[in-house]
Amino acid sequence: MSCGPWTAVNILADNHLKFLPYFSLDSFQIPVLLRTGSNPLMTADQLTLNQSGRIVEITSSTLKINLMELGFLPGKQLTLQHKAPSGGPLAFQLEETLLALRKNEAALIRIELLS
Amino acid sequence: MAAKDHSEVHSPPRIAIIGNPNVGKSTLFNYLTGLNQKIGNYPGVTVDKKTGTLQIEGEQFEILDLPGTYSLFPNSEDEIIAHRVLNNPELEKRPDYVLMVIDSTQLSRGLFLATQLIDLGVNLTILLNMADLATAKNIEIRSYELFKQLGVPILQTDARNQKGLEQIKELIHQRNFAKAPQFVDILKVVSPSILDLVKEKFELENHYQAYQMIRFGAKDKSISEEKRSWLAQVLEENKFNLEEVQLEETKIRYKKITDLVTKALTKKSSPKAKSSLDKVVLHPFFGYLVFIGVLLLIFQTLFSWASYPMDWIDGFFADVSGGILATFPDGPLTRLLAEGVVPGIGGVVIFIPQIALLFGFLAILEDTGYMSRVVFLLDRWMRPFGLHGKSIVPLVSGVACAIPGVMAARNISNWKEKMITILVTPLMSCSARLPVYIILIGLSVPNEQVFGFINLQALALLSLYVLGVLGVLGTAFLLKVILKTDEKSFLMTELPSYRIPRWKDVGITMFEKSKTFVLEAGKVILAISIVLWVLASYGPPANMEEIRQQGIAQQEQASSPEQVALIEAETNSLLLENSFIGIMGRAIEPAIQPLGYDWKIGIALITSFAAREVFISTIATIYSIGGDLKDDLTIREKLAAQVNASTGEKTFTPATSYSLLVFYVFAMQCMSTLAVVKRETKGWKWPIIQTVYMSALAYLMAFITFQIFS
Repeated sequence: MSCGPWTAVNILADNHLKFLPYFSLDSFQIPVLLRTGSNPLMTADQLTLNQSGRIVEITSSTLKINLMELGFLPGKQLTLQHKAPSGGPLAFQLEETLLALRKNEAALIRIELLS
Repeated sequence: MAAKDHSEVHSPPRIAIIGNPNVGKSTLFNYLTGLNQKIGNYPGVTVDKKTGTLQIEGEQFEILDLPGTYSLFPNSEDEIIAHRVLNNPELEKRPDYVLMVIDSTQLSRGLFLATQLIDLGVNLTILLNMADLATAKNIEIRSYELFKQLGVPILQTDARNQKGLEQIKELIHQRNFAKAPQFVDILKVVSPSILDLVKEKFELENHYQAYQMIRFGAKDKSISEEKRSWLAQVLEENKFNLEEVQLEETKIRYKKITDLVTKALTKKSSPKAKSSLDKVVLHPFFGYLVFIGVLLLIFQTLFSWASYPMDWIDGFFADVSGGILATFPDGPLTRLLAEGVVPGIGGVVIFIPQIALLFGFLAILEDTGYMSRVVFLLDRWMRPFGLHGKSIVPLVSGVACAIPGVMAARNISNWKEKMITILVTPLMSCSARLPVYIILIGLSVPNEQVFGFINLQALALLSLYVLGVLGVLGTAFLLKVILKTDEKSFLMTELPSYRIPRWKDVGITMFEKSKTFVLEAGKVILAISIVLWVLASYGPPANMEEIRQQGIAQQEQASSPEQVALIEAETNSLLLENSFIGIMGRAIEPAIQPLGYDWKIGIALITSFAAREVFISTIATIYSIGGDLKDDLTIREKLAAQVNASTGEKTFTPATSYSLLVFYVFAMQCMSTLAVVKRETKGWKWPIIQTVYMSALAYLMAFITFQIFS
């Protein structure tokens, strides 16, 4: 893979995402292009408070479709806003919505950490 | 583009309202129909069918409010209903037109469902609601662009602030709906051969409808057995992988929606900052304090407000009974009316203040967005007991009254969690237990202080509430092990932005819930009241007549009005003892003796099956306590003086009182709850199981208590 498309996508993803929140979805079928290589991969339940991540993929499960219809789609950015105590649910800001998920549900969302 | 191809337009035309949860669908429905609403049932599911009528310039329309869904994937009963209404003319009349409500700040999520509707080929109009929120968030939607791309009429509204609502009526009146061209070509995902087969078998219009039928065919139990097995066979033969196909469809659909939204939407602001209110409300420590504060506030208000109308209702029905007895000649019919029917109706109506107020509070909490925060905070603590975060609402309501609690359980989508919640909610100590608790504690627990500041009676009362909660948790845990389901439990809920409640909607909710209770549960309650009255008023005719004659004879010899009253009370007591219920009380004496009860208490146990508080009035009658029943002291003194005829000991020893208290903590003893559980579970199976297990638990615990203290 050449250097060209990598840079182009990254610039757009990093700088223009907040202005064109739906743009990154174009990379739906090519999520690999979103990987910068330097950012660590993890699942959404591993985020600490106020950390953000970009969704890479939703792990296959019977709940996958429920997550996707709520808007958890590859390319979108989410931020962990609140944690209920003692391993309780997590609340993520996903664009305009605050969504609560249980830990095991958040663990299905594979993300790359954004600093 | 009007729909003339397949189905004739119904008369009056049917319009369905559909949309994601929390988009203002109910506000719109309430606006269009006002109080002309009807709540019915869909066969085979627990989802309510909400319909209403709308008049525009003399023309009538039928409006159907569908449950909130995110997609037409078969995730829950709500979605099965949406599918059934839109796509299964065999089971439900298909609506002629569909109003799709979208939250303007959640455009792509709303379009997901909207484009599925377009592909189904429904006659559609899209309402971009919550325009005020979108403006506040600097989101600008070019609706003309959306209209060009989608091909259905688009209207921007703000139902909460009454903006654009007149245009909706106008649009309905002019039937400004359209069938748009397919948005996603399903043939790219599923092979045409299988879709053609299904389309023909179910007589459907297009391939997407056929695909929908494949999706829901196995889940919708009301489709005929023959068609379901045919469908399963076809899928099997074609090695059809539904999950894979759904994911593929989701990807393609979202990709197209993203392209569309990019063209039609501009957003100027940066990602939203954390709400400062949420910093407190969702705080791992202060969040719980806020929750407890809100609960205290609600109960404080509930008990102080509800008691007035309840006293009025009580007084009113007593007056009506008295009036009937005084006006009409004495006879079985008059007595049935005055002592059976009227108190029976009163027993239904008395619950209305609590139900209405509790649902008012719940509606406010729901509408402000606080309720889903509570679910967020409590889910973790409910799950070990097989309950869901949403179970907290029924359980907390149960402290006031189990009836609204059980009715509130329908918000829980997982069957098992819903059933457990319904089955354990009546174990919470409701307000109707309070009179029984107070009388018996007053009788058996000394009014003394321990450690200088703790009142023993207060401590006893608190222990009873704690016992109820322990009963809830223990039973829920057992049920978690016993009940089986294939459904996966999930939370996945939106925490909507905080908003001011819509008072009109709150009012309509209070009205509708009370109406449902009176109409649905009222029938059962009235029937049981009348049966109990007959059993308590009639006995072997010879005995009853003799007692009556004796009473009259004695009264004639009485010298003072006090004596007459005393004789009358004694006669009533004797009549009750010899009635069918008295005979039943004697019959069950051997069974309740191990609990420390005699047959007189047995009679009170049977009559108070109607409602726990009846225990007090029965005990008062049976121990022939005349005068004002409201005076606790009179009853207490009388009871304290009672001596068991066979043993010569006091009837109400501390052991017997404790045993009775524990019995009332656990026993069902409320036919209204029974009736509501029957309504919510659509059958007699669960209410009967519930009554049996609660009575068994009450018996066991009372037995243990009596053995410990005697």
